[in-house]
Amino acid sequence: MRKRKQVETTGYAAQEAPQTDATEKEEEGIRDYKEVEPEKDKHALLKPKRVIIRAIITHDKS
Amino acid sequence: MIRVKVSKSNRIRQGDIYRNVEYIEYVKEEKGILEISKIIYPYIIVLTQDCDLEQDFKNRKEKREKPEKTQDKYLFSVLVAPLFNIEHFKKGEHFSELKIHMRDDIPWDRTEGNKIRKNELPRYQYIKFPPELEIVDSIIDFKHFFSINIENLNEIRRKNFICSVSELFREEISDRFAFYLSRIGLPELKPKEKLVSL
Repeated sequence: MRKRKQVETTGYAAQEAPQTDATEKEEEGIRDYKEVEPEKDKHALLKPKRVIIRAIITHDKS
Repeated sequence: MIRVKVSKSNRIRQGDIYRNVEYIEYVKEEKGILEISKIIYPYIIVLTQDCDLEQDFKNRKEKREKPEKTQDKYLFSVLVAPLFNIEHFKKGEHFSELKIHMRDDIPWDRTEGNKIRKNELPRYQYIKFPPELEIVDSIIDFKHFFSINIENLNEIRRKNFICSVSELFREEISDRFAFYLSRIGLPELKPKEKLVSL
């Protein structure tokens, strides 16, 4: 398991902490390594999973 | 380590890696209840030849501009293969959410493990991604390739795109996949079976 880096948050209130605009970054195609590492840990856990959907078929009576 | 492009293209390319791609296992209807089973793969890589993808894109564009054009180069589906976290793969746990237990006895520090890392076993492609990407070191298992509808993939393309493996690196993957598909496994014959009466 990879170690998660501690994110420095002292000196910021939660609402003032710098936010990453993921959409813009994705459009630029550039992502900062420090922002990516926590995501890397999260994505490392992912595995294929099965989802089964069931629905009742209703018939149009018109 | 491979080279990747993170800029998005206006079409699906060979070597594109997408997240959260759905594969429909089955659809059945019984006594008024519709049941759909799907597998959601966290990461897949596109294996279809890029020239086919480019021709499909151009043909669709031409068809929109000139309805009288034929659709000879249209594709219905795209060949893809899943990527697995190498750490899950080593423990045979990469399909554990599907209750499928894979080999967990690959000697990673010995010959077989070295062969996988050096891409000398036809079934696997080991990929080391640049650290800036969200994907960890991964392995493609060519045995589990599948096809998905090209229009469905195109719908999720912009939102689910992660990166695209660069030229040469993607051709190597495609070449190894083609070799894996075309391999011929000969049976081990018993002495009596080796003689065929004419």
